[in-house]
Amino acid sequence: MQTSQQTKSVDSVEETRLAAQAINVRKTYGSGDTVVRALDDLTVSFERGTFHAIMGPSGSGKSTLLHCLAGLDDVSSGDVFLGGVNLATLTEQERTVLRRTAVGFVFQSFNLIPTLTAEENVLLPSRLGGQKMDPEWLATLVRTLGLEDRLTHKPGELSGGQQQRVAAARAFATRPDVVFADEPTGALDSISGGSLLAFMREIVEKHEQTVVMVTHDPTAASYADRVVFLADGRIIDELSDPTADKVLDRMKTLGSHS
Amino acid sequence: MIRATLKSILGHKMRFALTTFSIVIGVAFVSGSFVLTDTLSETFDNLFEDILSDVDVSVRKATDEAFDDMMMQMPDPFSDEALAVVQGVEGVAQAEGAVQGMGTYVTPEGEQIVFEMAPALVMAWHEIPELAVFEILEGVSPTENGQVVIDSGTAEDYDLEIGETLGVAAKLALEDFEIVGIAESPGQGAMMGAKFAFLSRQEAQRMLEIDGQFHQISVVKTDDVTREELRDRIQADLGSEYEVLTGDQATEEMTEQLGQGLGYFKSFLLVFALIALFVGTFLIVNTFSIVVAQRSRELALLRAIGASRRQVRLSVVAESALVGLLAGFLGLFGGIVVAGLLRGLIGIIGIDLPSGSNVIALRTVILSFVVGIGVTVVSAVMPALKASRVSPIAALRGEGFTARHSSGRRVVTGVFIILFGLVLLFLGLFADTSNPLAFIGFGAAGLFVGISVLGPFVVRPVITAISRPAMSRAGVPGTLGVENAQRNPRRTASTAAALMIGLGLSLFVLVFGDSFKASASKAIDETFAGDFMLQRGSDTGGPPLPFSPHLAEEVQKVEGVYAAVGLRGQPNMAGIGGPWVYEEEHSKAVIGVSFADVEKGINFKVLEGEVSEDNPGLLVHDAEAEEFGWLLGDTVKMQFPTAERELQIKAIYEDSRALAGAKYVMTSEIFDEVFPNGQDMFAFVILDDGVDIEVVRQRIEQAAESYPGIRVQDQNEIKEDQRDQIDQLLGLILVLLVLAVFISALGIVNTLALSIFERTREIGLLRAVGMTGFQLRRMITWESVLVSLLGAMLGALSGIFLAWAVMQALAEEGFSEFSIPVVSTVIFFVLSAVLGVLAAVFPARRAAKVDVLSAVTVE
Ligand SMILES: Nc1ncnc2c1ncn2[C@@H]1O[C@H](COP(=O)(O)OP(=O)(O)O)[C@@H](O)[C@H]1O
Ligand SMILES: [Mg+2]
Repeated sequence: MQTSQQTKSVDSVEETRLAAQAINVRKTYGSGDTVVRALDDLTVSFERGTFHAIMGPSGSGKSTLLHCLAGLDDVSSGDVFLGGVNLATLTEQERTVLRRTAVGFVFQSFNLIPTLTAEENVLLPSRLGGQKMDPEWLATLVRTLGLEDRLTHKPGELSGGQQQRVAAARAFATRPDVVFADEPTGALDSISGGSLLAFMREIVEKHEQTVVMVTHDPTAASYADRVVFLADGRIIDELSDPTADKVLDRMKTLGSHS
Repeated sequence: MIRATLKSILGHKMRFALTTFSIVIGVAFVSGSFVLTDTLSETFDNLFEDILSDVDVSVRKATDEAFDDMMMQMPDPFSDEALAVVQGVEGVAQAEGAVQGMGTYVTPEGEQIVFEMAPALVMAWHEIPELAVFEILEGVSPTENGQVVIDSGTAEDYDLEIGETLGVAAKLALEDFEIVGIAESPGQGAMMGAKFAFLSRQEAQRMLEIDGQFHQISVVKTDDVTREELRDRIQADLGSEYEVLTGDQATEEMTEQLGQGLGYFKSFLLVFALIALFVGTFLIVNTFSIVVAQRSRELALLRAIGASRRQVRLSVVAESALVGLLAGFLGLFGGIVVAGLLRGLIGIIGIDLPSGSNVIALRTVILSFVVGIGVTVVSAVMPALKASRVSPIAALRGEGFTARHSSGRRVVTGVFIILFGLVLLFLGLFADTSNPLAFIGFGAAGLFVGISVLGPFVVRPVITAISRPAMSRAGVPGTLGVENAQRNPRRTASTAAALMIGLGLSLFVLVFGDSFKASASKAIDETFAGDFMLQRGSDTGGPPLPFSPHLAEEVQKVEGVYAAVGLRGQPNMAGIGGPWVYEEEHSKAVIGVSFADVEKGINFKVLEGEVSEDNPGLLVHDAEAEEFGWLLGDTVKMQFPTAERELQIKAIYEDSRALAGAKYVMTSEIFDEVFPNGQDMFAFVILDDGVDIEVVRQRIEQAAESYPGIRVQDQNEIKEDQRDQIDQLLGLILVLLVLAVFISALGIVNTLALSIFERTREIGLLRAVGMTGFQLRRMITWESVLVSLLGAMLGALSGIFLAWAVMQALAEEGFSEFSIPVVSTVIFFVLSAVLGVLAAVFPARRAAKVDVLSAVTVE
């Protein structure tokens, strides 16, 4: 055990409500004249059981925020909490364990190990941890995502939409505190994109899961419970229960601001 | 285009370094072989000049020209009347007879100084200073009976001083001599660690049992005659029974003989260099194939912007040529290091090579570059062709290169190459070809290439099979490692194939060696009729050495000994027995035995005739008799190096290993006449019935004490001894093969590193979903171990097959027992797995460093 429990978790009762939280986070790349502030004193929190969307112009720091929240990347300053644990206090080994238990990922593309079947890909995080996946939960995911007859296929034999659904199943497999998705529908046509988002929505609602999704598509954002707007590494606005139109509107006003 | 090539090289320094290094090793071995032999050759030439420059003319017994090719024979002795004749020739200022033979010394502490890799000699001291190769450094020359002078090297090595007593044995048993002087020769380096004990002339003649005889006469001329004139005069006076040479001729002859010896040595080393290069070729082909596959997009882009096929081809070939150029350059200088290492290795065996500054001949320089560039460019041609065939659009879409040849064509090609290899192999083994070793070598190479062509087909099943037992506990890293090893069968197959060669040859040596041991043991079982065998050998092993025939006579007198039978052979300077008789252009081994006792001590079956003491003559092997159509009682004309005899066939015998492969057996009396330097190679001892074996053994050992180096051994001890000797030889060959294995291990490192580079995103993804660095390293180690086990398996199969085939060819020579060493084979597989683990260390560490984010960041 660590010497101080205090530094590792936040005492506040409220924190248990939060799946992920970033407090005064800065992330800079480069140095001197060429320094880039990808995240600039950013504070944001993500409630459990909620579908969050992050939007913002290209280069606004969306991906960087996601990576920092997920512990894939270090912050330059500030604190990141995942399921109540301060990432800064973890060793690389502990972070790895966290990644496979407390976090799930869906990237824009290349989500699956090509040599493994769909099912093996889904089971990968639990098997890496030496655990057996709850068969009921697996069945639920497979059913919800409509992957029943695709489980023995290798990624190469699946369509792009199917691949993303397998990736989603993998992301939810360990019932993580939060699933991060970076433009998961970016490489999909609107129909497969829509069904993926609908599935994620369903899992979040029925099974108390949490999703933080980066997107630049207002329609995709409309599946979320809440949209956070990012520009130049800062949160500039927020929207609850968004519809595509509301998001589009807000984007326009924000766009004219900057 | 050239700039693109250079960029490609600089962009992948690691890959460039590994491919270059694999060829550097091969080239270094080639250039090292030349540097070492050239250096030795020059050093020896200089030393011979030093030693022989003062001798104007030398005289020896003429040897029949049929024996010209035989190296380093001890000259036969001749009567000292010849000296008087020489001294009477006009133009001879001084002449002196020389005497020399093999001996053994025993230090005051009882340490025996015997033939190690270089002989211990007993010689007569030169009294004429101009002719003396050695000069007294300390003390005086040996003029009286009981005095000995030793060379400074021996004095130093064994801590001997003037005034001490040295035991010396030659043909006569051990006698004590007082060390009165220590001598040194400017040409000592040329003696390669030979040891010298100088006695007075009479004493030397007595110890060698050649009273009134010399082996050679050295002459100093007067000023008014040339060496050639004097040689002709002496030759005219002595007649054709003698051979007279000028000093220059003698030097040239020695140089030539040495050149021949060095030539064999060089060929031996070059075989290993070729193996290393062959393995390196696999590695380069593989590397360039992977590189071309990885660069397919870049190459396609080049094509799309207008580069011609030829230019694409050129860019790949140019990269390989640069690799080759660098490899040639580094290999050339690596050769100096290799030469030093080889020298060290030879030193460990016990041969003192003279040192001299390294000779780097122009030929060596050119060869290094030709080999370096040649091998790499040839290896890169196939991948370059593949690269140029890529269609711009296909590659840009990322389709890369899929198998161009149908697998059917691959099977046909592979099977054809294997069959071709087998044909060459069997021609080399069983047909009467001019250069069987070349046939065997190319045959084996064909076999290896064929297997590697077919390799991709066995990758999946074999890897699945060998990984299955471990998979239940190997977890995800294991599963992924297996999958990765199988995902590109061609790549896996050719990486494993490189390993197959080194490992296959190693297992060949192991199996062959084990069969050799088994056959030798069986031969001893079959032939050994007696209770003990007497042999002389150095403590460090090495081949058995000839010893004085008097030993068997002495042992015969021991109480409890029924018979002691010596098998007479003729010693030569190389220490390996092997007298030859020339008949109808067939040179054959011949031995001498005492007919009185031969049947008591040796298991051999007389088919016709009778072997008895009262009936001296010749015994002939039945196959020989049949071949020449001889019958019992026929007279056979035989040519010996310095004599000719007509001998009657007294008996015809069935082949027996007991006779050490000899096709002719003569009475030892006749043998001693025609081979004046003849000594026993070994002797069998049979005890009386019912005696206490241990007691008699001790008595025999006591009798043998006057003949230093003699070992009294029973059947099991001989077998043990033989096994040790064979093991020593195997060890040496295995050390040289380690090189090939090492290069192929580099191949694994390279392939893995390239694959990891290719799979960066995948590795990032694995890390992102929670694979630990340790698990990642295990995954890569699994892949590496599986590839190396696949190589070991292919190697084991081909190695065992090769050993079996060679055994078949040698069945007639007594290689009857095919035996696979189980323990060694198990160790072999374990070591292969370890090799896999080691080869994975670097790539795995690299993989573990892959940034988790690389899975997400699109390039
Ligand atoms: N590895 C990196 N090195 C340097 N700059 C980076 C790196 N990653 C991101 N950036 C910069 O940080 C800023 C935010 O990038 P990112 O988070 O990818 O934006 P988004 O995902 O919103 O398009 C951009 O200006 C980008 O150029
Ligand atoms: Mg982004």
